[in-house]
Amino acid sequence: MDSDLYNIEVLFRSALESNEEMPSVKVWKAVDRRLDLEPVVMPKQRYITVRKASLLILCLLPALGLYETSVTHSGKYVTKQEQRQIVKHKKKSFTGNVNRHVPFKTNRRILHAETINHLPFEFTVGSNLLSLKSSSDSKFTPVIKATTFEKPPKKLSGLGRFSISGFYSPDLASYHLEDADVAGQPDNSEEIRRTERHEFSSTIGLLLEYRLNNKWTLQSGLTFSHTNIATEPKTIYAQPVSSGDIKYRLNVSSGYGYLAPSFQRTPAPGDTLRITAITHKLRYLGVPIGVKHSIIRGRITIETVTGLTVNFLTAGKLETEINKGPDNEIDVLNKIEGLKPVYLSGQAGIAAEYKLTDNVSAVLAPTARFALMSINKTSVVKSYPYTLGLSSGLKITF
Amino acid sequence: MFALCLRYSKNREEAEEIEQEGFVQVFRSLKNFRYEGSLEGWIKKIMVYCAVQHYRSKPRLHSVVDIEKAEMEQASNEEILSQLGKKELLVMIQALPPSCRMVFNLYVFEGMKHREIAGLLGISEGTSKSNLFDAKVILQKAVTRSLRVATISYLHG
Repeated sequence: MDSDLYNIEVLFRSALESNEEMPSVKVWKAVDRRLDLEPVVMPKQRYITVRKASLLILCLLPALGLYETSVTHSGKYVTKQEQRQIVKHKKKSFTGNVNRHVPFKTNRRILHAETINHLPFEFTVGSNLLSLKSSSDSKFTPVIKATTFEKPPKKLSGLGRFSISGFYSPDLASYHLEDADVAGQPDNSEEIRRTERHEFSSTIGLLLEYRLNNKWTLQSGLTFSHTNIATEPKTIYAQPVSSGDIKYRLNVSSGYGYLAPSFQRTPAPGDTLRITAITHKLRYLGVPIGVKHSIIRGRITIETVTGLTVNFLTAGKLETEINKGPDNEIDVLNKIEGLKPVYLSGQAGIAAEYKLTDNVSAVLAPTARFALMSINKTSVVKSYPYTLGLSSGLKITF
Repeated sequence: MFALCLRYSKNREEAEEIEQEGFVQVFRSLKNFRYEGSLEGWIKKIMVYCAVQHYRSKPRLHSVVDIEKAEMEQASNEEILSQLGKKELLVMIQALPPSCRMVFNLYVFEGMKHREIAGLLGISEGTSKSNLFDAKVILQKAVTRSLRVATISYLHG
């Protein structure tokens, strides 16, 4: 019997679900008559009003756009994007006469309410109270679906995914030295480390960032670093070079150079030369590739940065002051021998961003940069430089 | 939509009343349509609402349904449909007691659950289930009777 009754269900559904019938003409006339009782606005007047309203909206749109993108997430304001993320719904049904205000309370702020069966009810949405009133006198049971506000996920309120930032970083520079297997040289890592000292070093750069999502950002760009190292006065010796000549060789941590003072162009092996001042300067162009993890708290963003930098040598200069009696001779070598043209370094740091305006932020980032390989070869020592800098700059988001 | 109204009503006049009310509500509420789903589906929901409202506004007595004398005959839906027209099936639905007709339409055609139907009509879930059962039994009887008449007519040419 049960299957018979189920078949009845299926029979009627399949037969009548797509059934079509036409009512008499008087139905449409009655609908027209009833709708004619509604207040009518003259078309011309309506269109004038519509045009005025459109013009006003057009003027207000830029302001509205700025407002929507500058809202804070304190729960007071919600952008359209956030509304789409709101997923919590609550259903409630009322029985009996609803031609009166019926409170509908939730623990959360109500953003939108409707009846599931789209019945014509009037809603008054308060912070967490919903009143509804039937437009007719009949008893009916509406089933209400209210969309309530959920704390939206934190979102960077920048305008876009790309940003560019310029920074300047004074650096505390140092290095790690290891003895290389070069025979016949008087200098070693311990001697060089004792006689050298880092002078003012800095890095400037332009970084381009691409925001993947609320937490992760890719970073690249260009950096330019200056490193200056001074050496205490020392005596150097003339020695044969691979070409067969005899030249004065000066060893520094970054590499070496051959000096040819004007007053002694052809020294003999073992001749000495007193150098009173030595400064070697390194200039590198870096291409960083990094990843940032962000934590946003209102206007402040804390980021951790890690990455690699490919460093291209742009200049390696050796400036010496040679003692030649009553006065000294300045001798500059524009190339430091033994330096690699490219070396790889790593970077790690923490950045703090403070949003000044919608798309401009001030950035402060203590950053450590460290060589992952020695910057030289065929030198008396292998040098692994590292710096600790405090970057400061501005970031523009677009 | 008129076919829907016919299913919910006992005759054509009542169906026209429901459709008239329904379309007035459609035009009044058109500004509330949010383009979530089809317009037809939205209008259909309003029509069902008006049909239910019409049903609830009419005072009625609880109808006693005699189902003990139901005689069931075995026939497939295809056989039944080949012998009975849609109009006849529609008339069978219209002949149902109003409470059974409402529950049958809401359950079978609108796909609503008994809990939803109970909330909509202001009855208990048990009453909804009972009305549906009664409706099915009555329709089963009506179909069986009509099949017999159709068979007899066929045999007599």
